[in-house]
This record gives sequence, C-alpha cells and structure tokens, in this order.
Amino acid sequence: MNVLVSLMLAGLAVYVAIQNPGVVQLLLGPFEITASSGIILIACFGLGMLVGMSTSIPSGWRAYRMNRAKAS
Amino acid sequence: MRTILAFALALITLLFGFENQRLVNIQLGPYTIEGTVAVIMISTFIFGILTGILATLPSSIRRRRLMKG
Repeated sequence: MNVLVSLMLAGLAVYVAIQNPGVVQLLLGPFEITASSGIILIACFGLGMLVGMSTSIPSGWRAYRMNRAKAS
Repeated sequence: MRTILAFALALITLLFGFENQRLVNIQLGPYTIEGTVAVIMISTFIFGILTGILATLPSSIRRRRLMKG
C-alpha cells in the first residue's frame, strides 16, 4: 500500500514537472533561485512534507523513551 | 521560544511574499492556476505540511494507543 502511494506521488510529481517547464525566479533576501516552476513546486511540496512529518518526532521520541524505561 | 519562532517564520513569509510578486501560470492536468509566485509556493508548502502530517497520523495514533495501554 505504501509503495503504491509513493509510486503515485512520484508519477504525479513527474507529470507536474513536465506540464510546467516555464522558468521562475525566486527571491529571498540575498538569495536567488532560478529553476522551472514544476521543479520549484515539487521542492516546496517536499520541504512541506518533511516539516509536516517532523511534527511527530517529539511524540515518537517520548514513546521510545517510555518503552525503554518499561523494558529496563 | 515558540512565539519567537512563529514571529520569525511570519516575517520570512512576509518578506518572501513582498519579493515574489510576479504572476505565474501553473498547469495541473486540465486546470490552470494563476497567481503570484509567492502565493503559489506558500500554498504548495502548506499542502505539503498537511500531507506530511496525514502520512504520519496512523503511526502517531497507534503509538498513542500503545502508550495509554
């Protein structure tokens, strides 16, 4: 199931990248990124996914410590 | 600490929004979305955050149940 969802997401990402080849310039203070809009969209989405997944790290760490305390 | 972090993030988002006001067209299948680069990038980022939270939700619920039981 997980593999299927991952494959679907990857396929969707490739589709978006192919459909949006136009070059876009991103500015943030002194930094400047120029890339195709599809690539930038995918990067933004991936970064957001990482941030979203990292929200479960504290509770996971707590559960891991509790399990270790129970085991010892 | 969290308030300072949230304030810094809001400031960076504002700066990003002011600096990237160029219009861009995004094709998604049969749909075309037109908006400024900043709005499209920020909404994509938020959509990614929601997807990430949804992806970890089942394991979080399972872990919480295990911790209670």
